[in-house]
Order: sequence, then C-alpha cells, then structure tokens
Amino acid sequence: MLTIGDSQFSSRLFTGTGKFASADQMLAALAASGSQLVTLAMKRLDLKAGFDDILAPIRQSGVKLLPNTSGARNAKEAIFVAELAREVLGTSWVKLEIHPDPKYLMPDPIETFNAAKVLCERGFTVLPYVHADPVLCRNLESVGCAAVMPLGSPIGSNRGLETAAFLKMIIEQANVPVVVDAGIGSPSQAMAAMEMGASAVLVNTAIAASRDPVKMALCFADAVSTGRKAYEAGLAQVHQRAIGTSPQQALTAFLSE
Amino acid sequence: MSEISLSLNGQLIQVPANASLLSMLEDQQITLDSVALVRAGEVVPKSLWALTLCEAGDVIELFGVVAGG
Repeated sequence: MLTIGDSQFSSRLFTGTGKFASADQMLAALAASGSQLVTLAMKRLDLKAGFDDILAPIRQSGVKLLPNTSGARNAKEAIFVAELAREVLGTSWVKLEIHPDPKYLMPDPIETFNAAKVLCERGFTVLPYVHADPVLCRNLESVGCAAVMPLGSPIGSNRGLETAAFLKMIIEQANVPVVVDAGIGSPSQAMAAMEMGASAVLVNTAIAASRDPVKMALCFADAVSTGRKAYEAGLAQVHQRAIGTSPQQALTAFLSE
Repeated sequence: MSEISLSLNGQLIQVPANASLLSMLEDQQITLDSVALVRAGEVVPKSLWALTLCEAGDVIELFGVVAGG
C-alpha cells in the first residue's frame, strides 16, 4: 500500500481527467485504470455557455480527488486556486502546479516553493509538480509537502523519462513518496518509472489521447503493477561485461587433444 | 420590492435588495455543491452564503471544476 498524507492507495496509477473525447469515456477509462486518485482543474464559470458537471459522476465513483492549480502563474494565484478547490471539493489535497510558460509548461521552481510553504502552513496536503530537481524536491519535502511530483518530460509530450538520471536521485533521497508526473507516453515508460522505485505515476494524455482509452487504461494498470513488483523483487545488477549463465569450461577441448 | 444590480462572472444581473448570496445563486440556477464563490477577491465559504446579503455593485465570480491533468 502507498501512503500519502493521511490516505492509503492500493493502486499506484494516478490519472488525470483532461483531454477525453467525452465524460462517459473518461469515466470508463478511470474505472478501467483502477486509479484511486484523479486530478481535476478549476475554472471560472462561463454562465452563458452552461457547464458540464463532471464532478458528480467522479464523486460517485468514490475515488479521491486531487484538484490542481493549473492556470496559476505565480504563488499568489496558486494559493488562491487551492483555496477555491478546497471550498468546492471539501478536500485540502492539492496538486500544486505553476507553469507560466505556455510552450513547454515548465514549472516555476521559485513560485512553486513559495506557494508550497504557505499551503503547508495552512494545512493543505501539497503535492507539487516540479522539474526533476533533486535539491528542489528536498526543499519541498522540508517545508512539509506530502509527496513530490517530478516530471519525466513536458506535459502531454509523451516523450517518457527524459529526466531518468535525476528521477533516480530524487527517489534515492526522498523521504516522501515520489510520483512521476507528466510526459509518460506508454505503459513501458510507466513500468520503467516503477522499476526505478517511483511510488506512483500520474498519467493523463497517454490514456486520454490513445485510440482506445479504456484498453490503454488497463495496459497502464498492468504496467504499473508489474513495474512495482519488479522493484520489490529487486532488479539484478547491471554489468559492463558479460557474466555467463552457463558453465564456461571448454566443453570440447578433448577433440583437439 | 426594490432591486439592486451586481456583476456575476461579468454579467450584470438584478436581484431583490434583501437577497442573500444563496438566494441569488438559486435564482440563477447554479449547482450549489460544485461551485466556489469569490466576492471582491475573497472566497466566501458556503456556510456564509445564506447569511450574507448581496450589495449593489458587488462583483461576484463563480468557479467550478473541469477536467484536467
């Protein structure tokens, strides 16, 4: 079981709710994924356009909700969004994300740290989305973040674990769960993150934008579960040279005698 | 009964002078359990909606939940 803050999770696959073709497809994919923690975003309502309430069915499914602060450009805005989310959803959990750069959506480390500190002081369970920066992750842990969520590659890019070497350092040093978030594009990449020792992964685009999101959600569930088991089983050591698996004596040496 | 006007998410609306935030939202057919209300830049907790009266010229913003990663 994975423990974050006061909650336990038997599934180590967390999922986002964005980019699905329909609410029904999203709900079916979430169910198939077995995810027990799903992200949502906050938005100013457009009263003229009406408003598709995705919240009621997600609530009914019984999963834990993780509102994000997407759209916030600095610490002040992110704190405000977290307060809004707490008010609407009745949860003090928040995925803190501050990425003012629209091209690469790189998280702003300084604003994220400043917001995390305030939100932790105000009693939020803070899961910050950050670059795979081992120093920043330790600092976020020291101000009370319940987990850290370093990126594998840019949000929605499906490029996988481009930060692998740094994710390993973060995992090695962290005393809080490490959730690899963003950029995971295939089940094999999710599995690789889990084999590395990540506590969980957060996947959205790779499921939502696949041809068959329900089937893909099942694939991710399997991959995450298998990757975790492989980590627990302990991977064998990597060597530069060959280490034989069969007897190495000269079997046919007698022929040349 | 006299009416006052206020701004709700950028739209000017008319409400009775003694309307609470709660009754204003009900009149606007807002799904109450899925929105947060911000008045003059401050989040007003749900528990205060029934006790807080709308004032002429209020600038009120409603926020809801949408899909996101």
